[in-house]
Amino acid sequence: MAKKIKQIAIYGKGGIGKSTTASNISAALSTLGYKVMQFGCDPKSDSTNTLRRGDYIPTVLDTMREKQTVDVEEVIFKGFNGIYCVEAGGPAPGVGCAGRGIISAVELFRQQHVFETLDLDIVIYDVLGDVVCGGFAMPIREGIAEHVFTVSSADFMAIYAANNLFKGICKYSNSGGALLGGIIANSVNKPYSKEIIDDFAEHTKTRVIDYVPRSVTVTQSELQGKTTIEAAPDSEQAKIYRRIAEKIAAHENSYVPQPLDGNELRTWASKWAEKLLELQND
Amino acid sequence: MSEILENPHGNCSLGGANAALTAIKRVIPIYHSGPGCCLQTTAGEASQGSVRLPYYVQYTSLPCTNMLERDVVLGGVDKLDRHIAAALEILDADAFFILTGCTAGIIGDDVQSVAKKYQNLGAPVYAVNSAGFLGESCRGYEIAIKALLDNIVEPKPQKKNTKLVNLLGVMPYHDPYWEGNLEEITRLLKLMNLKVNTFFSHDQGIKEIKSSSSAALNIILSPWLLKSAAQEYEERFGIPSLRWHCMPLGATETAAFLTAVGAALGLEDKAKKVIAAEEKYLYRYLETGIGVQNWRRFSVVGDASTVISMTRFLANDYSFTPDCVIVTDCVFRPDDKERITDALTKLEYSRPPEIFFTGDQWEINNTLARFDQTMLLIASTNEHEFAMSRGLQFFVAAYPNSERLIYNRTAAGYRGALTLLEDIYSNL
Ligand SMILES: Nc1ncnc2c1ncn2[C@@H]1O[C@H](COP(=O)(O)OP(=O)(O)O)[C@@H](O)[C@H]1O
Ligand SMILES: [Mg+2]
Repeated sequence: MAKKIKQIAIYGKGGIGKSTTASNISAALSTLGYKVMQFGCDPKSDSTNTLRRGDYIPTVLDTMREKQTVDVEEVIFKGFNGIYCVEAGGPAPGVGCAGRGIISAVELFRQQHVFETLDLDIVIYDVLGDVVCGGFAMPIREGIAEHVFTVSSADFMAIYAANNLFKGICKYSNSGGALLGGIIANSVNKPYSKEIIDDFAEHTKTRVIDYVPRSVTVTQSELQGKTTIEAAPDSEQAKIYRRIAEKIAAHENSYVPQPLDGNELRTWASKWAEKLLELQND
Repeated sequence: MSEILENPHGNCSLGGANAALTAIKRVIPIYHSGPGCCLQTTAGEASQGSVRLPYYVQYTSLPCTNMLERDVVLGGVDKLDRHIAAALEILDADAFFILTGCTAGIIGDDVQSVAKKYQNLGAPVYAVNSAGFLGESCRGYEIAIKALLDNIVEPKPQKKNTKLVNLLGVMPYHDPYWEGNLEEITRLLKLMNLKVNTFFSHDQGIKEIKSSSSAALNIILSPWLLKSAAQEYEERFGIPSLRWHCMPLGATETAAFLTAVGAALGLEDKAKKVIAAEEKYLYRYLETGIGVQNWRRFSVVGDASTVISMTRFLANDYSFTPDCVIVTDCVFRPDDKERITDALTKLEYSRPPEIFFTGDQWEINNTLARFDQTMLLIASTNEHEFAMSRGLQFFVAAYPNSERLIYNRTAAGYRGALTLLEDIYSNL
């Protein structure tokens, strides 16, 4: 029997640090000896930049635009430590359907049995923030990713996006869709940030798998076109990313989250708003 | 069309828009849709209306962008652009209407800009947002009329033509008798010295549609269609509307209709004279049938205008007894339903029929089955099987009609009363 490929999707609000986290996890996993592919599912198509010295690569949809049939070999590029990098890409802003683009790109890879041919251990889908339409939910449907991790800070908008993602997961959970692996808390430096995320996790019956501080090492590495794992392997930050990678490699059991409904989320947020005001006034 | 419908009595708005626009002389649609939509809607709405090949350019010869996956993902506007250029090169028309299907509608292709580009080059290319999901054929018909108002109708008419009327509310092909009906109503209005714009008759075209903004009156032969178009004609061109609740049929209804037109245009005496002459003609024939023609209980299934006109004619003029009337249009405004119900129940002396609003075949058949006294069923091809199973007398007068060729046969006015009676007493 062929070995089981671990497929993971990373979701979260735009700009929250999905690609940074995903790339560092990919880099860490590959240094641990796994064969990894990172599949950028964001029309921005910059998911794998820090795995490739800041290079943009031709996307699946770029190639689709130029040719009648797409040979997947033309859209797979090797990055740091042999990591396979793919960007789904998107239509020109304001035209076409980016969501359908994600579906088309992912289906293309499935049809051509790429993951099996490359003998991959792990595929990481780095997907755009909100699950705005069916297309962006594609990676969490039956037979694609198995585990979903959401990157979130303590900002309300990031938590709102995470909560929406939980709703998407619930929707597909009965039909063999992906389940939640956990929350990766990013940019948590203030003690109350941790408290907020923990509280949200408690309310949604989910778990935070780790906390990533905001760190200038990340910025410095990014400016060199590298992940922290590559540029500063001995830093504190790299240690954290490695720790997360190990947890993900070992991760087996995901679960169905319990998202808050609109009212619950507002009530929850306003309770925190009051608390933060008190903190400020102290 | 929010629920599941068995055997719908109409098409989607793309089908409706296409049936209307291609009923205009020398007009060609350019489909911006998936490959199936083009065939499905052209074969759906228009060719089930009267067993004819209706278009200036037909079926598979219609230009269609055949949107495929890459067009969905990347946008289909470039492909559309190329198709328009090619269509203009090989096809000759007075107007090209780009009709968008669901696919283009969902991804929001900017079809308007492409149309503008060709307009700036002097080509009569117009964008119509007709995505099928907007509704059923009736909606498509309204979309078509709006497209004409936006693109064809003269925006600044020089002066009013007090003798010109626009005849609206008759859906080409959806009403299987549409052409004959337009001819009969036009004939009567001409007798009142009026000039009639029908937009869709074979002797009319873009020129007549242009001139519609200088008309003195809009006559809308439908209990519920074209409310916004009527309002737009009124607001932009000061043209009032006379809404008549159905296609006038038979002496009583047609006389009332012509009297109303006369009153609206100050032609009361003219109307009286026409009515008198026409009634004389009609009754001369009717006399010869007395004694041969026996009484019936009947039921009607069809669009609102058709069921009203059949019911009122047979009940008021012919003393038949209506049992059950089923309106298949998707009438959504409560006041429209009320107007339709009024027209069907306020009869001269007959007991009013029971009225139902549904387009679902299962419901229609179940409803009809409850009226086991009915002897005559006037409906669409969809109900033919039911009529056969019950041994009812049956003929088709509503969409879909895929069993009877109809060119200029009419079910309107005075002449229509005669042909309809010929129908009723023919296939006995
Ligand atoms: N833990 C962190 N410390 C410092 N900077 C970070 C951290 N996480 C993300 N960033 C920065 O935030 C910006 C957005 O991150 P990115 O991964 O592109 O977000 P996303 O993929 O969610 O849109 C990048 O410039 C990135 O370097
Ligand atoms: Mg990103």
